[in-house]
Amino acid sequence: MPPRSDAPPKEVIEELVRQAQQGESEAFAGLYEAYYAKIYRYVMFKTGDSVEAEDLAEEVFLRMLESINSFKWQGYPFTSWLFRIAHNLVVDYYRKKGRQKNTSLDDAMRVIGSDNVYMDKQIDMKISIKEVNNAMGGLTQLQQEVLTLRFAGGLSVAETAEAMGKKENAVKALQHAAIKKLRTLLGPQMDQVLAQRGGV
Amino acid sequence: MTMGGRLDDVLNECLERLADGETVEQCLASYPGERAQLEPLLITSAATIQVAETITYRPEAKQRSYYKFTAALADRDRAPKTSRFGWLTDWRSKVVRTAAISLGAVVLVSGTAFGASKASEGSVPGEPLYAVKTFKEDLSLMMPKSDIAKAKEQAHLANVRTEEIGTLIDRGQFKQANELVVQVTYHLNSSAQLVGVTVTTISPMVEPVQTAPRTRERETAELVSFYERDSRLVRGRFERQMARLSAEERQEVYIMLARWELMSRLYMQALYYDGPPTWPFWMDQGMVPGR
Repeated sequence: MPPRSDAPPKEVIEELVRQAQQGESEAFAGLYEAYYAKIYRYVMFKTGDSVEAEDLAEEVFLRMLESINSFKWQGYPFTSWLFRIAHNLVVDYYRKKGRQKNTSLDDAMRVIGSDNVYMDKQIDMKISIKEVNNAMGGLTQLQQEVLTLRFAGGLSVAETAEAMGKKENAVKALQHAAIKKLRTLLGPQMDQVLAQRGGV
Repeated sequence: MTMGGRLDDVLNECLERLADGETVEQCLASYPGERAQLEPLLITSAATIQVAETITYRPEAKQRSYYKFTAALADRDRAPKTSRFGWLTDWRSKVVRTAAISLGAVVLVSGTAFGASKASEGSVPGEPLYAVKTFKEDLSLMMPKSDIAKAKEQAHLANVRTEEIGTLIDRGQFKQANELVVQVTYHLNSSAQLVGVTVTTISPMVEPVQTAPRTRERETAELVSFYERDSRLVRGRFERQMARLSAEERQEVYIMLARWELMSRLYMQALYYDGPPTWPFWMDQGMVPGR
């Protein structure tokens, strides 16, 4: 998940949404700034194509602009609402493309300039974005969605539950099952790290 | 609660703690009984999170998208006005809209009418008011003005971003600071393009920068002088910062500032043929980490 320090406090988001609903341009700009990176990362993780991700991220904010007045505060986080828009756009994208899921993140590798991402000192391993993407392809759609919202979008369990229309406990169980399966699918790389740490 | 349900909760709590900056080991220490099950899950999660975090957008794509967003916002604001003044003909509506947007822009750019606008000036990425600051900048860039004035504005924005890098370094937010270096490059490239220069090269050794056309010598000299004055101040700040960082921090910051310095030099070289006379002291061999 992106570090918490990246996220504006909940109260600030609530205030920005209220002001945006009253038509304040600066509030829209604030929401754009607060969410652009997260939305881009989410759609990029889902599509694996930086050009499509740029277009989709742009479209998410245009949809937000069109429909923000339909958003109601009923304990329903704005973040979940916005990511649901993003999710729906990604679904439409695949429907139009006639594909079920992403097949590679080659483009992402081009964007970051390398296919190897070095882990920090505490983990001491290297893993490629392509390996993660391939492994994610072995998860169910729901498992993929939970991990993408949690790890790429940086949503909390509560926000993920709202975005997916599920209970928090169900999201936690999906999350657990998804990570467990991902660990198996990333087998050799993970075995190596765990062996280095003296773990299982 | 079932065993599976308990592990769901423990795993989730650990993921939250990782997001708050704790390490895998710290979390495992809190649950010695679950260590064997938890460790592979947390390692897998940490690896996936770090891969996801490497995905970053191109600043120019964000900026382009932002322009479209603000244009759509302006259209949206226009809609009720049009219905209220439905008796206006099309051309009159256009005049009213243009005037309204321009007036709004002038008020925002003046920076004194709104407390938020003023308060946003010292903000850095990650702060709510930062959006107000960049919004003002975008509006100002959209205002009609000469190429040289726009080029100066872009060069100034490069230094504003550099100031923000300095603030983020002071706060120990090196990752965010590093991301801003790309934006410095963007502003300097935009500035150079406005006076007919292209500074797009991976390495000056592979492909030398294209220097300014002689016909615009006076304009480019003016631009260099403007940028040099501003950048001298921020370079002084970097030097003071480097001197007081710990060895470990210096190593992290060094590469970032070297990228900034290289970009500044490419820009100066393209505009003025030879760039500033000396390297700053923190780029001397003695200050290079590991030497």
